[in-house]
Amino acid sequence: MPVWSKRWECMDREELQQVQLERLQATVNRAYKNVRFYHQQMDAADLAPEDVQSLQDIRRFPFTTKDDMREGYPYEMFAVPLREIVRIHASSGTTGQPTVCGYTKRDLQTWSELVARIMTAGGVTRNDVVQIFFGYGLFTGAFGHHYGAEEIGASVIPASAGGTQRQIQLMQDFRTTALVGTPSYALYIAEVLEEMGIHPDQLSLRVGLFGAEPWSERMREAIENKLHITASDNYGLSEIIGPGVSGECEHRNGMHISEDHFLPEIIDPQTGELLEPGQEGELVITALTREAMPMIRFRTRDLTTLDVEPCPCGRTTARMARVGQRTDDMIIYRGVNIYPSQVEAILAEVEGTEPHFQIVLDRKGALDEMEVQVEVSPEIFPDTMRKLVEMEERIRSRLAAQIGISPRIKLVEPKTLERTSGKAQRVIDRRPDAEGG
Amino acid sequence: MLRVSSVITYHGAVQALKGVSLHVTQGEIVTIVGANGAGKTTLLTTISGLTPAARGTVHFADQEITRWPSQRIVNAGICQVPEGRQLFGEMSVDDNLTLGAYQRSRPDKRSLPAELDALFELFPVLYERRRQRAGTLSGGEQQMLGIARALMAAPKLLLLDEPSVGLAPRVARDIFRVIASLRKRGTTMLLVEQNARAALQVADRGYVMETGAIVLEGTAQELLDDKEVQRAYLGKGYGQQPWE
Repeated sequence: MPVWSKRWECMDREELQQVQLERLQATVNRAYKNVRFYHQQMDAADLAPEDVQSLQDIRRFPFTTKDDMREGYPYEMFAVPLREIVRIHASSGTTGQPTVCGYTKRDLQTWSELVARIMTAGGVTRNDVVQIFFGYGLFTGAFGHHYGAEEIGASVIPASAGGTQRQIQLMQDFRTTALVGTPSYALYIAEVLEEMGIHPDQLSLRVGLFGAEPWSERMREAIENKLHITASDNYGLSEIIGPGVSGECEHRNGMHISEDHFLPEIIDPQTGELLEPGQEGELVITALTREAMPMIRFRTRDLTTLDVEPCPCGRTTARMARVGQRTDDMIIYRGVNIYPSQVEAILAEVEGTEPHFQIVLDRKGALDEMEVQVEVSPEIFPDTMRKLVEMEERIRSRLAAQIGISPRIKLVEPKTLERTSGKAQRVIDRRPDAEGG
Repeated sequence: MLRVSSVITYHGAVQALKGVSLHVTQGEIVTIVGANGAGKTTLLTTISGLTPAARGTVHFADQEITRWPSQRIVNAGICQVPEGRQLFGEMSVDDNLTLGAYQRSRPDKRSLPAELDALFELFPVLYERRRQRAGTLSGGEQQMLGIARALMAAPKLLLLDEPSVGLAPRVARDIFRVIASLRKRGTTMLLVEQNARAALQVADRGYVMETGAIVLEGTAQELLDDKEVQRAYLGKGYGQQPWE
């Protein structure tokens, strides 16, 4: 399998560390000089830019959190004047103020290069027709893959999200060979294909790159079997750059991190202490080349492990394990890890439901009970009991198929669920030993 | 080939280099751009052993050379063309060049004439003036002689300090043309320049220095396209707020 940039991805690790040190020092110098937040943070910690004498010295630096970014809303984290920013993205504001991410022209070039790497690792070539069904918008997923695919020289179809029938028509008519989007939506497309009686062999699909939400090996298997493609996992986050931080190669033994651009660390999320190699903990990333928005020790809240053992593919970069959990929002229900975002993604695809829902957890005897309360749009609110039951059943079967749970579904009238300003109360946990809500 | 890691150098009480790291690989032209006083020349003299580093390391061809005396560093293959040329003005061009060969640990006298011929191909103007006293050459010609003399030492790495300083734009262009042709011959160079644009046009990669520290690095093209490079080179700061 080809490597997009042998020079950087297969670099001798000692040479890599020299490049990392050079870039880390340049980044810290610029952050201290141009970003008030870092200037104050470093002054408070009695640190000067020249204290970075080795890569290990970064451990003395304080973390940057999503809250720091929110407080800097909208432009405080930028290290260049606004006139040099050519793109602004923002992450969803589900938990309050959105976080804003700026890019200079060079940042966009870097981004294209980095996504070209992970797409090549995932099997995309210049001969592919790439259909991107991430939503084009403030979210970085679609644009990042768009640039990466163009950088490789593939043909890009910016299909954007939604309109499953239309997606399928594009796949048929344009002879799409590569899919890019969320795994849950890929699975949903597969199910609709099945319902429509279209066999995957009637399509030209070959590979798929999926990310932006937690997914499992079981889900990968289902996607590969139903769509007859090779599905690979990749990882990124808009605060750092978007997609392109890491991606799987054909050996599927973790996602290769582009370490010439990102310095990863694994810490204990409770204490902030650095963990030994191989131990699971929270991923912390320092961006080494971001011009518009330097990020020093950003806490991703994603739990993973790092592996720097050589990979048979020839890349010498560290690999991170599939991100299954986030440190903040996961709930465990009858042994299954569930994220409100997964439920949300599924509800978004069921016609007539609003993105307002609540997961209520309780315990009857020894058994956990789960109820998902969903608001239904006024136009569609079922007028008969039968339609109501049908809709509930549709949601339940989707949840069962994609997450493997079958909770009680309760449809409620529009605007009946309580809305607090700022953070949406997605989960109410009434189980006796539950920690908070 | 050359690896500088977190070097700190003082000029008296003034910290001229505040933890500088950079590398040059074989066959590359790497340039350091930055305003006057950014520490560019100190960086070169630290590498060539003329100004001792207080902290940090310099590696060359897999050997640590941080505390080596400068003559040993020259013998190892690092040769610096100083700013202001420092030629022997009373001696002829020919003699200046021959002297350059004596910087090698074991000059092979028999091959010298052939090497001189090869050099004159690169610098035809020096061939025309070979019998002239070096002091009578124009500024541009002296600069070329300075580079040529350094090349006579057959360096593995050539350090060039402001080769275009004080020269008329047309003459400076000639100098950069010479540098570009040296690059084709495979000479590895670390080039310090105030003329960021010209330097980046001949270089493969570059570093931007500000007040003793590197604030940006990248390929020459990336830096040429970069607004911050122009700002650093012009020595202009930011406004009160990033969004002004």
